Amino acid sequence: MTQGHWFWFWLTALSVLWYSTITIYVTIKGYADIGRMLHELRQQRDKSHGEIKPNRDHGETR
Amino acid sequence: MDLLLAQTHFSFWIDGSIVGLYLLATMWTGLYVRKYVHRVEDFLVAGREMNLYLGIASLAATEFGIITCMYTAQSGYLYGFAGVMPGLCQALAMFMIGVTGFCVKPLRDSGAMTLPELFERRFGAFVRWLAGVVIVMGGLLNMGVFLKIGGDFLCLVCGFNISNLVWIMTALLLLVMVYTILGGMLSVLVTEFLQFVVMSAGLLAVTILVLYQIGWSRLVDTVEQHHGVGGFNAFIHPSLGWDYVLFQIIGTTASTLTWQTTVARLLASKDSSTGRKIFTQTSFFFVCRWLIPGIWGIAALATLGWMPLGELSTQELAAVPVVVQEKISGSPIGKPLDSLSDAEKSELGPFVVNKLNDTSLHAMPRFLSRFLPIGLMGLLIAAMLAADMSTDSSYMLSWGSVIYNDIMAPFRKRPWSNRKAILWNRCIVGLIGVYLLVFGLFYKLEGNVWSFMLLTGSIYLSSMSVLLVACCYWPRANNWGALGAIILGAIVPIVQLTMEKLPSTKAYAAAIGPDIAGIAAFVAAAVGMIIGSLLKPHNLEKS
Repeated sequence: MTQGHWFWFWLTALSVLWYSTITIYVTIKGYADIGRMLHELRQQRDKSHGEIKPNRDHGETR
Repeated sequence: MDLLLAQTHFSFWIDGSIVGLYLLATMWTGLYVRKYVHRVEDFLVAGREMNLYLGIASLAATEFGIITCMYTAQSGYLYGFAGVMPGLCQALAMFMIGVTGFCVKPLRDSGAMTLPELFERRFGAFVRWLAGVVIVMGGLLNMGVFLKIGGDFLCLVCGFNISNLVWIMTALLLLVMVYTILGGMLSVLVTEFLQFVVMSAGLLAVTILVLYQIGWSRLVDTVEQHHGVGGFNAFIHPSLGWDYVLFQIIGTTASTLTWQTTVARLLASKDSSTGRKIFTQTSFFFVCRWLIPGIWGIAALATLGWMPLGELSTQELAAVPVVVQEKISGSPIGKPLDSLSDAEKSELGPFVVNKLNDTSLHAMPRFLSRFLPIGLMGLLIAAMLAADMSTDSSYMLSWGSVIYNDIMAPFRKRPWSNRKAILWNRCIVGLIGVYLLVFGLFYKLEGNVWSFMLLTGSIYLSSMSVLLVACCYWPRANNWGALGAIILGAIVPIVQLTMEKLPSTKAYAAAIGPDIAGIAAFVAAAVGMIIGSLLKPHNLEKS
């Protein structure tokens, strides 16, 4: 089956297998990373805007 | 021949809907996160809040565009499995750099936003400015062919007339520019995550179908038949050889260390440890990046064969004398004009010559246009659009950041407000977009695309990698050496590219070849650094 070119055969098989696995894994973990990154940026923005900030829901300050 | 002229399987309604859905999702995501951009750090390095898995997705998506797919498939078509060698070299380089932290640890720990910013601390403000100019010049020259080749791919796969190329290029660019200009690195990172998912699904589905339907044995037989033993070993392939392999090892190591888009991911990571993990865990992707499209290229050779005349329309073919047609048909793979005399070449005219030269580059999209069923065709186009958009956006932003941060640094006597800085960055990204469109329309690329890209890239890869290594590990390095490395490292590839374009020196350039010229650029940069640094008197160094 490999016709003597075992290196390329196994490298191709490994590439397809590794890429499939990493795609699923990175999709799940990366989604969580985005959530964390946006959360951090929101916190930094709130800090830099100071303590007094309009409350969007009630039009008050907190 | 029938296969070349046959219609594509692209269905406007089914495949078009899949593509439309993907584009809508990307635009919405890119525009949604723009509200988090408040400081220039958010715009350029996403506030340095990028974590490991987002970094892996982003780096993988950036480093795979339609252009990548086209030149790696062209390598597979032209050289068989031996064409995958650059991927193996880059994977090894990336893994070793990630494990050892060679250069990347001190670079990330320095807190710099770009490479030239780090160089300023060691070599002074002028070297920072000059390094910025060289990085932008090499990077933009390299990037100039992206849109044109992306447009070529989409026209061929969808069966659109090639005269629509300008409109396709413009539309692609506008979509990318909108979210890159508004959201900067933050939009780029989040859209790249989506693009990574779509791109990977498309690449895997098409590869599995190719392996299942064409079969491993047929792929191996094709390589053996057309390339012999050299098709499996780059060292003994007649068109590659030791100089090619050596240039790949040097060039891919240098690009891992200093390629602006890769460096931007390192600098956007939370810390140097996260940056190094991104390198080690993304390294094997670079094997896939070359092997997967390389297999598509080999499959194109297996099904279409070497048929340069298939590129010509019936009218163009009728105008070519039968003797010349026979010579072109019997030419070696990738060299359709090799057996023709100068008189015969000039008789063909530049338009037909260009079309014949594009045969190897167009083989893969022509093959896919007939091979893929409806539905999977839509997924492939969405995947390729995803790949291309992520690359374009990231490249525009990365080189834009060097223009703002380093080339414009002397014009900012006092720090600018975030509002002004972000506005300037947006304008720079917009101008890079306009340049891409104009360059893509007018520049005619000849020969192997990857060789062109590595050679244009070495205008800055050679000097910047030498500067980075010297900056981190050679206490004797100074600004004289840095200037020597930048000047000598840039001169060699620029002279080679100019010689390739001038009729009187074209033959000399071909005899030297891009690989020897590329190696010479790195040697020249290293010599410039060593001699320049040693020549500077000690009293001047202290002052």
